[in-house]
Amino acid sequence: MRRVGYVLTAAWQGFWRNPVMSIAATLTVSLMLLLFAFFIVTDRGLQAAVSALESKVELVLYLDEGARPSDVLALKARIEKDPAVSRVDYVTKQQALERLAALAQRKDDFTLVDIGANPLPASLEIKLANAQETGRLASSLKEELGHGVVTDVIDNPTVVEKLLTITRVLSIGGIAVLAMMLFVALFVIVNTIRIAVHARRDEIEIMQLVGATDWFVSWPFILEGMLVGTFGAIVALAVLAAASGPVTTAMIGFLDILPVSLGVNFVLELGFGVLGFALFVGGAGASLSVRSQLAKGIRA
Amino acid sequence: MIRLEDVSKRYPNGTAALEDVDLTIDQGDFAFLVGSSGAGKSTLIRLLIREELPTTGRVIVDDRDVARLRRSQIPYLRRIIGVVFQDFKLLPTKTVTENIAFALLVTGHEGHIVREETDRALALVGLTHRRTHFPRELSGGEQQRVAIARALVNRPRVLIADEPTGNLDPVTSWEIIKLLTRVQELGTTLIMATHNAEIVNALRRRVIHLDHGSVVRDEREGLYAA
Repeated sequence: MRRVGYVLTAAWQGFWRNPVMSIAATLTVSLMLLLFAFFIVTDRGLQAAVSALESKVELVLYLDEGARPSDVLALKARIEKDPAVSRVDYVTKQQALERLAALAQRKDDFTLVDIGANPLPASLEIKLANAQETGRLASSLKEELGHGVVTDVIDNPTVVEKLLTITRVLSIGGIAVLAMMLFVALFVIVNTIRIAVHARRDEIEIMQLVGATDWFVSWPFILEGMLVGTFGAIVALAVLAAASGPVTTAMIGFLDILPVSLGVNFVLELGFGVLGFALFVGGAGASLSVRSQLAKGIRA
Repeated sequence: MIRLEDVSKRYPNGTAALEDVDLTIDQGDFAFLVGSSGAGKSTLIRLLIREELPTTGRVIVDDRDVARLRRSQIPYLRRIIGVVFQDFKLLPTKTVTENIAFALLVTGHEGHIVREETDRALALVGLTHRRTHFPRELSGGEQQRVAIARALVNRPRVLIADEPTGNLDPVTSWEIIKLLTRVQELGTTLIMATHNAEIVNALRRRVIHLDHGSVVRDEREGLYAA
């Protein structure tokens, strides 16, 4: 207990011994953590957006007016067998017209004038289990063209493809920026603690001389690094909390109908993730800088 | 207590600091290490506390082969060896009491033991009345007494003094020597590296004379020069 008390007190005093350096390190760490949190949130948002869009992806086959119902049903059954397909709906000409009428009622700038004959074709709407299979399925379905059943294959996978590309670019870019920030934060913490270690090298020398264990010498510094990390995490999380309201509003405005909701679990996960990452960076940085000083007192 | 078997120490730059040193110092002994600067006195001390490793040979302290100790065991070796330096090595921001208690605190002793043992060490070196002072408020002799108290507070079995009177005037030097002699009489092995011929000659204790890294003379009740 006495040891723990000593180590905690020494870490706390160490942090405040050089407040300018400690606060500068804290702010650098919080900046890195903000970026870290930003990438996690963005990544999660995009993932949610992708899966929301994926569930909407569908292929539509327009059917020939003269197609025999038995041929249509046989085609439907064949498509349903494909593992990438989650369901296939048959939409009659009448249903298509009803949908158009319903849409026209909702939209002010869209009016249906009286039309005699129904110009809309019957169709098969194919919902996909896996959006990445769209291309393959679409090209295989295009082989049905000209056989008297299918008149057109409508696929619109471009939105998903774009979103997948953005997610990939953001993930890679995010990891690269994060790696750089991690390096900068480690560098700042290593130097902050190194200055603290240097300022107390006489104390460390005497500690080693009178028989203090490496544990006893290094833990105050490692805890001091973790303290920098913890304060950095608190600052970053406070900024995140303050910014989350406006940002969420803006995101919902931007992404419109997408159901991007990041619940309580995610907030907790993010909080602990940021704190854990901060403790790791602080502790590891400090441990790196105290190790070189420890080596001076003992030839191994 | 301390045994050096065929010990040589060669630094990476090629300097031979010690050559084929064989030496035994029994528990409770008092030995002077004499010799000119660069003769190997400090290297010998550094080998004993494992600040350096011997190039060849074995250094045995309290039945431990010092070179073979794992890193985690070195602090426990150092707890049985107290060291006092010419430049005292006190922490300027700590009071006399804090400087002494520091040795106990960082080796994980309980609060009441820290208080009791610090008081005992302060009384032993006669500085109880100076306990709240800072090192800069003390004379050189008093500072060295604080350093001795810190070296002794862990009750080591060996006390090594590296030129303990090097920075002190003759009168103060004698006070320090008297103190160290008393510590040795209480049972602690005392090894003192010194250039002070007057003290060596007056005390007539064991003298180990090093020259260019070799033991050239080892006499019971010896003199500074042969």
